[in-house]
Amino acid sequence: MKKYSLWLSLILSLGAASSSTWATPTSAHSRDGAIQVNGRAIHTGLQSVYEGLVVGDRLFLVGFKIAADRVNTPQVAEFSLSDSTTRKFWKFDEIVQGVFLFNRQVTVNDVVGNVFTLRDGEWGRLETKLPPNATVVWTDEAEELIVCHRSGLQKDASHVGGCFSTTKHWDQQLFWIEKAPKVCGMSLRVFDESAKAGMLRVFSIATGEELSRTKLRKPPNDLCRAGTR
Amino acid sequence: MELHFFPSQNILAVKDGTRYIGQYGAWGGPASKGFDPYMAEEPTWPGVYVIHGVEKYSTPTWPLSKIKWGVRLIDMPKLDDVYYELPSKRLASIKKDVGISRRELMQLHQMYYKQMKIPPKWVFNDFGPIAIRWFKDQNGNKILDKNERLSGQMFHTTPQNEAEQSLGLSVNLTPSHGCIHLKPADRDFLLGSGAFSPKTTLIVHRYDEKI
Repeated sequence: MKKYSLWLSLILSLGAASSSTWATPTSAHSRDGAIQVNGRAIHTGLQSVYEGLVVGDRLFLVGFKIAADRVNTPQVAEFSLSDSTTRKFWKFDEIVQGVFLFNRQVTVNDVVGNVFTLRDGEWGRLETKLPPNATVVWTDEAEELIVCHRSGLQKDASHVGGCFSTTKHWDQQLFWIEKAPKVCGMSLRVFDESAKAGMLRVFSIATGEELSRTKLRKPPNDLCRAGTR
Repeated sequence: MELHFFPSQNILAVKDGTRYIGQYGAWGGPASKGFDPYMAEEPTWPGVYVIHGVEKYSTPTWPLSKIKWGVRLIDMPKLDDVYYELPSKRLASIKKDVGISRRELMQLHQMYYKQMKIPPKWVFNDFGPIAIRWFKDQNGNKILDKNERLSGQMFHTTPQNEAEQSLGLSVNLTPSHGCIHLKPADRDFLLGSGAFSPKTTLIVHRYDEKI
């Protein structure tokens, strides 16, 4: 399954290569908000970028424009990879959490759970709602999303988090804070921190069935490799 | 001076001699154990304790409380990270050390202070700027001896209440995991009046006791 999401923060900070089916951003300048895509600089006009998605020759970036008083405005930006003059910016009311394909459309979710799809250059809000602070960890690019929402950070927040499929009717209650769950192949891997007993739990993304659990003392660096020999 | 906490009434009373000279809103834990999957809420345990002192509190148990209140922050938007100042004055990454992203911090700041920005100082510690610690005094000498331990329950404010106070909004106390939540202004007044001085007696009453 193709996964387009690019963790551009890494690219911006380290200048390291990241993989994508369609394009591979390779490095970025930190001073002028430019990133390098296939050896070509794209001036993003954003002061902070934390996620991106490449669809064909279109690059979508999620980030902020930051005013002189340090107030951040959530933004989604679109750039053409073939024509460096083409760029669009959209301002959002809430912080945008992620960008992904849903029903073949470029889609974003925000931190309060709203979901917006881009059609004809405009973002339209869908009836679909996700939990607040949800992360889409997998998409079939059509109807199915696998969504994880983490436990509240604050002591007085709800500490019930979890992961679920939007179409396959499974829902797992989990407690995770530091390490976002990850889909590796056809399994969902989660470092569950409930009751202070660190546990690597592996689930089938097809059924939600728990395939294994392994005790781990601390969050693994790489969830895909953790617990394997 | 003695402190008396009545958990079922959410009252902290200050007693001087035989009469109560002040009452303050204060919320403790639930009367019976709760269901938080990470750390279950517990009653504020009834008993007679001794105030040990005041400290800036940090604990690895809660992610936002790993960093002490007021620690300097440096916004690093290009790195999608925020750095914090260690006691050694060196800078460290919040994303790496605490597992929290820049935008999550911004979201918290937006929720508390209504502005989408990274504050110059850490204002997210669950225990507020200071915590007032107490202990069970086994031998009655009012000193924390080697075989005595500070209670994990303590007086403190919450980031939400600190923000409400800072913005001039009404301060609404919330139930705790077992600690005693105070309003920032009451904490400051009680501190200034000496009610939290070391060796002050604190009596946590049973849930069926009323003032």
